[in-house]
Amino acid sequence: MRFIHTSDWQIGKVFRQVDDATMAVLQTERLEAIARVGRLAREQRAPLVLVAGDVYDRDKPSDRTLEQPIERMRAFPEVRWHLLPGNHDSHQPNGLWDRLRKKGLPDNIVLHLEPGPQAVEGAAAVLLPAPLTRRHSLADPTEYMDGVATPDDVIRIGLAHGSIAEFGSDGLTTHNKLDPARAERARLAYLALGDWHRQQRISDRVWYSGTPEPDGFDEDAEGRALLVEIEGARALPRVTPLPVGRFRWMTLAVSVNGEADVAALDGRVRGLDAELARVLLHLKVEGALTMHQRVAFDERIAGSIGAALRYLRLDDTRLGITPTAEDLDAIDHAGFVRAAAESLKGKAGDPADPEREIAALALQRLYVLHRRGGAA
Amino acid sequence: MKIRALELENFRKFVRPVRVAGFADGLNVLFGPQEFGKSTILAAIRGLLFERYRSKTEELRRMQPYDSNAAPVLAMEFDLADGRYRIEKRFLHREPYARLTLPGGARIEGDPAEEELQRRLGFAEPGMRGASEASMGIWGALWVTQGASVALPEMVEGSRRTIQDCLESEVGALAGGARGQEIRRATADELGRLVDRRGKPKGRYLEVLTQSVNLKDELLPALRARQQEIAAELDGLQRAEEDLRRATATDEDEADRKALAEAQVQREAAMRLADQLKAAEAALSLAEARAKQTEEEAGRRQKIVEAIEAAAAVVATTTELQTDARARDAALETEVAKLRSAVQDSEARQGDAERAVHRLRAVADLARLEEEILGLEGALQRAGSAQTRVNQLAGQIDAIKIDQASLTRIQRAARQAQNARTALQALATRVTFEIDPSALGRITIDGRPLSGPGERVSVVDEARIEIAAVGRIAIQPMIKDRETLDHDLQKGERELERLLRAAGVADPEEAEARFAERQRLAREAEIAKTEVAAYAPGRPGLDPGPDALAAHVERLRARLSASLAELELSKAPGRAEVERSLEAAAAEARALSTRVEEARGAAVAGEAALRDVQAKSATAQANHGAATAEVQRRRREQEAAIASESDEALARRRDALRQALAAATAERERIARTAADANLALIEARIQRLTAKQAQRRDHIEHVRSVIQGHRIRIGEREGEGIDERIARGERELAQLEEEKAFLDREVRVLQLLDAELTAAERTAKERYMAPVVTRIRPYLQQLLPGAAIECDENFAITAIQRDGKPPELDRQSGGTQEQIAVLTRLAFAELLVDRGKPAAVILDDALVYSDPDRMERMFDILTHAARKAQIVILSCREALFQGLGAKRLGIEDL
Repeated sequence: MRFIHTSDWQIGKVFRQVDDATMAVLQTERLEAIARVGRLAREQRAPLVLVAGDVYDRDKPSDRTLEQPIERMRAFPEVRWHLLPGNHDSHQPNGLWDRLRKKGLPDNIVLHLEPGPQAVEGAAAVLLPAPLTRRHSLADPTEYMDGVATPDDVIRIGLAHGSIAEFGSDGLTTHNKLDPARAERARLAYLALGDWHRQQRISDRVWYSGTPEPDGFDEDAEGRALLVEIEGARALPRVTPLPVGRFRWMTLAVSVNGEADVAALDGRVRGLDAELARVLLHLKVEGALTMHQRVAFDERIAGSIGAALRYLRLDDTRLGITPTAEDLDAIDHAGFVRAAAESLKGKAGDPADPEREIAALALQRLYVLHRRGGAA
Repeated sequence: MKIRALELENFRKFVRPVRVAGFADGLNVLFGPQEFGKSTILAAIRGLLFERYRSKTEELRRMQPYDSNAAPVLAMEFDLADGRYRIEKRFLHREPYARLTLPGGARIEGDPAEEELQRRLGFAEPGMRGASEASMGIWGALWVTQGASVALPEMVEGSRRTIQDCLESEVGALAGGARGQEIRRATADELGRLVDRRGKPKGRYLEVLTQSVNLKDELLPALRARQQEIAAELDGLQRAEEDLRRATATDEDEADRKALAEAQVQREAAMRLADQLKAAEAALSLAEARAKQTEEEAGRRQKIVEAIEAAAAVVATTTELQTDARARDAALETEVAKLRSAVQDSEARQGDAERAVHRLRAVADLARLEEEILGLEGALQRAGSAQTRVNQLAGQIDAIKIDQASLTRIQRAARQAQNARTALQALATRVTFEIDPSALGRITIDGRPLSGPGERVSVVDEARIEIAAVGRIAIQPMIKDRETLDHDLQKGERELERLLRAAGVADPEEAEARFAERQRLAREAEIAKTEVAAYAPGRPGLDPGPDALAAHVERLRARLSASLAELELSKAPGRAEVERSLEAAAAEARALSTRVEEARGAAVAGEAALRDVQAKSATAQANHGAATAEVQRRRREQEAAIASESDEALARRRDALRQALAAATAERERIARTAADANLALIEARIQRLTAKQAQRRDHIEHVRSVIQGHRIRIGEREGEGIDERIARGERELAQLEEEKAFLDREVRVLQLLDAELTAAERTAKERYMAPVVTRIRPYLQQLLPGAAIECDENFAITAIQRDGKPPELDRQSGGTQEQIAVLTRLAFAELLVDRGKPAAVILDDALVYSDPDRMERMFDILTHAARKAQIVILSCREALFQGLGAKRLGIEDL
């Protein structure tokens, strides 16, 4: 059997780190990811798509948010979508899944709101879903799978959402813990997991598909889905990662100390991706520049590169300014403006001055104002 | 600039053309009293130079002569670096003009003339309302009108520019120039977009602050509350659904239904038993009623027998009573008749006694009346004699004509006659005889012999002394005013004579005696009158006096006679005797009255006894009749009863009924014991409880269903709004606003610091280029106020003066010092301008009036020093004050 394993669509997600325009694009793109998964299934002739939890980002979405992914899935009638409630959209009485049920769903969408075996692919396979009924669950929802009896030749596929105890990125998580040996214990041919946004192989039979569309600077990876092919009940599955994401979220920390560094940074960022417009970059800069260089930095990096990228989040709090004599001469050789510049330079260079950072910025501002006036 | 001459015509009080000329290069002074118009001179210069010749402003109209519309004509000659100029203007005329003659004689007219003048002197075109401090520029500061000299020069834009132009040429590089100003302005603009002048946020900064507070404190809490509400609704729904599941569970309901059916069967049985009991009780009551009826019949028959016996006894007793009463009645009637006649008898005697008493009282009244009459008659007699004496005395008093007034007049006339005589005697010729006694008889005087040998005679009239045998001696006394004196004497004696005659007396002595007699008589008459009043004093209804009293006595007498006739008496008996008889008669009357009462009492008692006997007799008779009738009625009753059922039959029937009653009672008791075991009330309570429980369950289910429905509706209304998403969006917005706020906070601090640094740097730079002004003022100031320092701000305003290291405020300086400093500042400006090759001159109008002589001397030195470079014109009405200045004196001359 062949199916697509995906998870963590997080429809309705709100993005704090980006501006409104970018957020609108990101939200649209998350929905588009569903269509891309659908097209992938069509291309790969995979009649099933297993969504391992977190279709929605919140458990009380608006009606529009609730219906948007349903409508995307409806557009692929040849594909059966098996949806599992995750921790973000756990199944609670009268919750969003009940709302969906009440509204009525297209035939190609199957909700797995109760644990228990579900025959798929005729009777060749059995799906063992482990839906979450609350955001934080202390029990392992997959445990029941061990006790479900099926004929030996039936392929058992687990579908669950949570952290594998040993592998979690944060060892502190104590809820929604899944047993890493579940696949063996429950004689599963494959355990399709969701929760981690970065794709990850746990074992031959256990995979996190990752989110199809990344949503944070800490997920420095492409959005992907998995094509899973299983020959028989005990055969090892063939698992193929396939890209479906549009945007890339990246974080870059660099040290800049001079014009050459600025130029290098320019080149490096431009080389990040062939299509800069699909990159969201969190750029952390440290080092020290002269006022002249700082202007160049602002123009090349914050200005030009910022315009080329989908979004640039620039953290320059650790990028210092070291005014030179030439900088000051550029402002004025004499006169009261030069006197003010000297005074600010003194303050900025005095480690004891509580206003030193402000003074440095003020000096930079004076420099910019002067240049602007000069250009005018 | 050096002013050389000034001409005025039709300018305020200068109607005829005048000219002020002879201005020196240095110090000039124009004296004149207050009304002389020296202030007009400055007004003329300012008007001529700075007002447009075509202008018709109110200010210009004030330049016209008083009560006239004549057109002012002004002209001035002055020197600038390139030579002499002459400017002439005519204002408020149909054909106004402006003419400027340039060095070398070229002349410009009209607007070009004015423009050229503006350019040469460096002032601005006046506005619609005429020249102002702003348009006059530095001249407004240098040419000060009266009273304004106390204040420091107000550096309006124009004047500051002029001074700055002077300074920048020297130290321009230091100031930073126009680009520096541009940067300052740009900084201030950027800052001004974020905060106001007091540093309060505005614009986007304020928006960010307001919005983040609004989000944090209002929108987000409201959304979270909404979220809680929805969560609560969901919880409520879940609980209600659980509730419904429990309520619709079948087990409990089935048990209740069974228990109810059982209880209903029990109730049926209990109700049957209750019916049986009711029937037994009815039988028992019937038996009781029958038994009771026979018992009552037996009792009734017994009572009839007893009644017959009692009535027969009454008949016997009453017969006896009636006999007794008849006998007593007859005896009592006789007795009562006797008592009644005794009462009549004693009443008649009592009447006689009362009448006797009455008559005796009338007689006693008469006796008292007669006594009174006798008393009054005695008094009347005495009053009458006293009245007679009064009348006699009145006659005697009337006979005496002398009264107090006439006596006084007589005495006065006698005194006057005596005085006249004495006056005459005082002037008489005194003749003294010293005659041998033997010769006495031979000598007579006026025919009268001498009385003695040493007689002295006062001669008034002609006197003749005859000496027998000797002859006669005539003495003719010469008395001055003799006739007048004689006349007075005679007049006095005549008057006295007349008065005496009228009074009927011979001389004044008699008059006095007669008056004394009259007084005595009057006193006696008073006494007699008192006596009359005592005897006939009068009282209410009776006037005082003997006449009224007599009439009263007469009336009493008449009354007495009438009463005597009425009582058939010839005279009134003695009072004592009458009163004794009265007392005796009254005593008898009282005794008889007592006796009447006693007789009446006896008669009443007798009558009562009689009535009592009669009543008893009647009662006995009535009782007798009634008792007889009762006996007969009861006998008939008895006979009727026996006729219907004999006494024996009745007794047998009663026994049978008593047995039946006992049986019925036993039956009822038996049924009641059985019924007590099946308590119908308890069974019904159980049925009620079970029924209610079922109803409650139904209600509860219905209620829970409606609650569920309510929750579903509310959730349905709200779930679609996506509250979680809205909160997430709100939180995102807040985070972004806070980020922006941090950015703007820093931005404001950066701009504020930059602004402060630029301001400070500029101030320092200005202080440096202000130095030339300060340098020029300082020597003057030190001369005026030894030890003083000066600060001057970028607007050329003197901001502080330090003296001896202490910083006193300029405002606190005395008015005199302030004015002196103000003048120094002007001098320094003028000096600076002249040094820079710009036109300048100082005009002081009535300045330095507050200066003391010492300061004045120092100011003269300073003025003299300053006048080496700039022309100074002083206008003052105080000639004495400026005498020590050594300035060129100017005069106003007619043209």
